[in-house]
Amino acid sequence: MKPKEISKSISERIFDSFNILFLLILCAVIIFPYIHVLMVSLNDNATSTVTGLMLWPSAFTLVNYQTLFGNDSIMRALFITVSRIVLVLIYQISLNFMAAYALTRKDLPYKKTIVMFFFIPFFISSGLIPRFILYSSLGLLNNFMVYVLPAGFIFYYFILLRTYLGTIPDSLEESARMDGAGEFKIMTRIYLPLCKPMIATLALLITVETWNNWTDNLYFMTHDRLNTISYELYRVLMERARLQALIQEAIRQGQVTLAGMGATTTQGVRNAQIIVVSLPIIMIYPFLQRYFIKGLMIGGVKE
Amino acid sequence: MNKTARFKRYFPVYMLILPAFISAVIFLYIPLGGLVVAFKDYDIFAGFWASPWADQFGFKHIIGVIQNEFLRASIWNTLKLSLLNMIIGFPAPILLAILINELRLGPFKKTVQTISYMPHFLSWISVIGLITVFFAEYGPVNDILGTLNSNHTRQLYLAEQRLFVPFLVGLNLWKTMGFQSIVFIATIAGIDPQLYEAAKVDGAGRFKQCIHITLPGLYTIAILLLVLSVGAILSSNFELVFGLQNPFIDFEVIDTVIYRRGLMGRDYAAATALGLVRGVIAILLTLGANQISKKTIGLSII
Repeated sequence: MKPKEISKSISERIFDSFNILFLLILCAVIIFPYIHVLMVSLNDNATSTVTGLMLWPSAFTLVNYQTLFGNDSIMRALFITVSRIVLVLIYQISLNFMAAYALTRKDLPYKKTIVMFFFIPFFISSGLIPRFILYSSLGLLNNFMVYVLPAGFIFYYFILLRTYLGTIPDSLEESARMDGAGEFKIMTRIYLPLCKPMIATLALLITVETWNNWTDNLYFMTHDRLNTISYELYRVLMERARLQALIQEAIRQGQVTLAGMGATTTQGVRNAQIIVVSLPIIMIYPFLQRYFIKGLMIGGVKE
Repeated sequence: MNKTARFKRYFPVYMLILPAFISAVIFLYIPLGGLVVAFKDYDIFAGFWASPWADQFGFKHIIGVIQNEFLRASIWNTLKLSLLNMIIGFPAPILLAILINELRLGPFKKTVQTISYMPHFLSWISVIGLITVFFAEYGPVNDILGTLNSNHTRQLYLAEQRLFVPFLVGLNLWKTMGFQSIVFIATIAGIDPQLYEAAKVDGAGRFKQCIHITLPGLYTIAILLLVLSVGAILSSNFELVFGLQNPFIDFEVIDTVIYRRGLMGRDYAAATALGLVRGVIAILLTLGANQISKKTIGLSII
């Protein structure tokens, strides 16, 4: 019996070592690209060229960020994005909250029918082109309101709010009603304060989603006046791709040698832009984590 | 209480639903009606309804989707990509959850978990940014390979056709694996510890415990997630595919074709038809998968 136990513990120890090693490598693969981009953005790439993986800036500078924030189109994009987020937050939360509150009322006639009405479009989606044609006929193309108005009713948010509202006991409402409080007053004075944690979570979700969105910009805007910050990043990346294509074309024709091309500060500015677009979200998300684990199942249905 | 009296009493409540109702009608239901474009020869000036019906009883564009080699290829590419994502991306978080669960050191376990779901918090466009920098001609990958092998010639990995699909699948795995493992870790934590105790008494080692207790414990949730993903098999991640495309890549999925053909090329009818065909198949698949799930694990998602 004894030798078998020892051999088992050896094999387990080998497994444990490999497991730790594997997970360490995995962590490195996940985190090194981001650290590299962050460090290059903080590095003076003109005097100190980047080679290999950069895990610490060799010549620290904030010049890349200064260049970025000194840029009018970037500042405008930030302003547009933040305005959009503020408006979407107010509009989407109030609209979904009112509907969710109304549809938790137990004896409301036609309640099931109304919920069904809201559920159907969540199940069948119309796709991009009908949306585009609609926005075009509403005059929303190249209009700031295309960022806000279509983001009205979202079934997922509605369900989250309604589920939360459902956990609040009715007794509070009944006593308020006896005191003669109206529907709107009961909603804003009693239910709204009780829903604060859920609304805060929702606000973070909406902020993240709105900040990250760049396809609305791509689909519905044809000039640069109303670009958002995430779309600005997309454009910089694409222009880079165009640059790469040009370089490769030149190499093919033998006009440029690979050795002739060095790292430039455009690299640093682009990296700074990646950080500016991603870091705020990385900072926000830890607050959402715990909630997300619970909400993952509903989220799965959403996708 | 009669009907009018009840309605009167609830009138303020209905008024609270009204904004959501109007928003849903305009931005969710009207576009659904707009799917009719797929059956018409859409004329911008005539609008949704006044445009003439397409030939072949309106099915010209739907038939076109099936007959057109380019559109068919995009459907095939989407399917191929989804299946690859499923084959590789589905077992990976389960495996990761088991490996993380086997870690003995608490703080290290926590750190691995936190790092592994960091990419979920990045937007796709930032991920594309990272990968563009990392695999650039003068990026770390080329640098490191150059140091290891002096014969290494610098390459533009993102401009290589044969690497495009592996990049799509790899990035998807990189971004989603850690976060998806959370569900499985939570499920493992919920398994009755007495089962493990009993197995230990019977002389089962950690491998045997894993195969006979942990894996069966994950069965239900795994099937459920698989069923949920079936409806999305003809959808693709537009942000990732479109964001990674460049002039050297020839790989179109349904979503990029809808954008390029429909919005850019103004071929509204064909693009809508493509979307409609996809939507109908997705609904049928979801309903079918739901039936299977009902029969096998007794769980219905709808």
